[in-house]
Amino acid sequence: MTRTRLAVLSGDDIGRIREATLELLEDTGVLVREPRARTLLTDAGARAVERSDRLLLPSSLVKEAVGKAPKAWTWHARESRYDLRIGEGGRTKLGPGSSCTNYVDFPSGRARMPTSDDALRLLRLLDALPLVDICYTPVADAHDGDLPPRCAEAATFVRDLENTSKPVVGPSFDGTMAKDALDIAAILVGGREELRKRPTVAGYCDPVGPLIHDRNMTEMLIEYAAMGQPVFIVAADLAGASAPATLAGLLVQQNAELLSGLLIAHLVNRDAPVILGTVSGALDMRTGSAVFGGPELGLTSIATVQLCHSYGLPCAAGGQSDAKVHDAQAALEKATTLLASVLAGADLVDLFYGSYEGFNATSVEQVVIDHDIAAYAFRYAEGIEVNEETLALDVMREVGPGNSFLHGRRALEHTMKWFRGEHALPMILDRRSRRAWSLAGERTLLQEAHERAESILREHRPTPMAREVQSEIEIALKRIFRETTRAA
Amino acid sequence: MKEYVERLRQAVIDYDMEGIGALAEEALAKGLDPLVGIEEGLAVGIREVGRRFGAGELFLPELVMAAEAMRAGVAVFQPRIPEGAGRTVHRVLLATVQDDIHEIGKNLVATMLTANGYEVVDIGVNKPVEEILKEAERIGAEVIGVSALMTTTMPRMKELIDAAVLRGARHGKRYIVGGAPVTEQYSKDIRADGTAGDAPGAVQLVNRLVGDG
Repeated sequence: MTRTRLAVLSGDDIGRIREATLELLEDTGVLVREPRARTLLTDAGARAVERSDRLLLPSSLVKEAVGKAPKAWTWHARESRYDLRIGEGGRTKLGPGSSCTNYVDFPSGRARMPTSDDALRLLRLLDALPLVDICYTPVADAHDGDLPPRCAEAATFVRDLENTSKPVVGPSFDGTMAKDALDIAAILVGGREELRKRPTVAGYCDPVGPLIHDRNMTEMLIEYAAMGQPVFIVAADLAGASAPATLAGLLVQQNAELLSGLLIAHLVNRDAPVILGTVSGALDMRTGSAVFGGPELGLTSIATVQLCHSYGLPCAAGGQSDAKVHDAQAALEKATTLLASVLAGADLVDLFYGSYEGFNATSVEQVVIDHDIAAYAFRYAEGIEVNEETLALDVMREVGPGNSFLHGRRALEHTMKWFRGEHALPMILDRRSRRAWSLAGERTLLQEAHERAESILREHRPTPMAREVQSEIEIALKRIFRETTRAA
Repeated sequence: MKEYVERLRQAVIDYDMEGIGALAEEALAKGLDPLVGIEEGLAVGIREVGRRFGAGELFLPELVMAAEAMRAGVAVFQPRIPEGAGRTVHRVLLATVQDDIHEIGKNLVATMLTANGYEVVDIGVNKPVEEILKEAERIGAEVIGVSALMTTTMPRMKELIDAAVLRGARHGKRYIVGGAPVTEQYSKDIRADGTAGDAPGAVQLVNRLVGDG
């Protein structure tokens, strides 16, 4: 149950941003660097600007695509208990960071290149934790070798399928890598026809600001959309650099990037389930660094959720930090940004678990800390239930002045019944007395997170894939390796 | 002449992008040596702006405007410098690697290097190894800086350096790499001459590699 709703835009604001978006798409348009997408758009009525890849998009075209896009659907997992209903509200679904190039070691706090052992540990931890809804390798580990990107992406995808039965995001660089993933996913679900009916492996497309749909990304989008698989279209604009410095301006531009991406997906396949989203932040004007842990990302997230929901579309939003180690800054930024997105009612926050340093760093410890941040955010979202029983007038009458609610049958029964749902119970945050905490070794949050991650990893075994499916997938992977070597 | 030198310096500090061209023309008409105009006027001004930026007094948009003003002034003076009297500048080529079109970071590096007296030739985004090496040769770049934002395009940086080694273009040139996912370790592994986490860091790196100070 989600009651709390955070909003930063009024109904009028939303209307103005929506109108401005359509104006921008009509008079300024977008650059589309992929020829098939360009043909689809011009055939549908988009006007090509001479001697360029720029297309001007009529409002009617955009509106139709938005109107007809699937609003609610199921994202299937390898095990159906992990299937996600998207677009029907409820608790925000969370996923891990992606392609991190720094793994931050415990206890040194030093960053290093992620190894395939890091990748496996992260995957299994994510598979184990109950509030992780989407699962895939969050690091770019190159499998401890010098694998060409196509092989590395395919091998990563297979490793993901082997180590989690939660919904997965597939290789999202270009059309070839997307096709590889779809071949493998087809084996998993029992054929291409079956895959077409079951959104299972998502593709992840980031338009480039300002107003560009790049060739490789669009190729990838086309492949996933054609197979009816979920397509994330997520803007990562920076206010003051790749978008206007004003957040209202950024919202208009970002909305134009998202809706034009949705239009391409719609023209490829009307039934393609699309998730629009944002991880936009700002450029730090002192250093020139991208800022993803600040209020700009949180505010943009809330506004983007409001906009997407005004179209009836699901929305993915941000939760991030610019910290370099898992310190107070990491906790502060991840908690505030995630809280913003969750309280806005985001359908997903997909680049969240374990991720910091502006999407570049990760560690198992941060995944565990983030799990408690998520638990708190979800409790805020649930809000306060007010009814006869929760008002507890009868119980207060019975207990009377003085006394306590941990005493007497009636009071105890009421407490027993309600405390679990009403009170958040964090996994590792410390709430003991100083004395008890001292006696237990005065451990910091980071140490607790480390211990917890280790104990989960000792215990947890992912649900294995069926043996025949696995061997068929391995054959497909070998074919991809052969093709890549031959091409080189 | 001193007055013009001072006014040019000030025009950069005040990032007078519109007025600086006319001021440079006027100075030339009054007989100012174009080389002096650049070196004692514009360059001194931009160094002051760079100092204030480094000290946290100025922000990026101001720095970019000052660099633009500097560029507009240089565009007037440069063609008037007599043959042979050319100033010695270090030339830096910048590009985003093939299959990657992200360029915010690269553009900031270009601005900061310009603001620090380097001549930057930015050949743009999605540039194949061949083109980068050819252009670097053609313009006589001492430093070649390439950028990538995606882990899937980072291997292009290695390809560039391997190709440079193969054709002997590694010698006498410095190759630097950058972009959000690029780490120190990666830069070492592919035998680049260095990386920096941000644009000010890139200036320090280039100073160390080829700078005069």
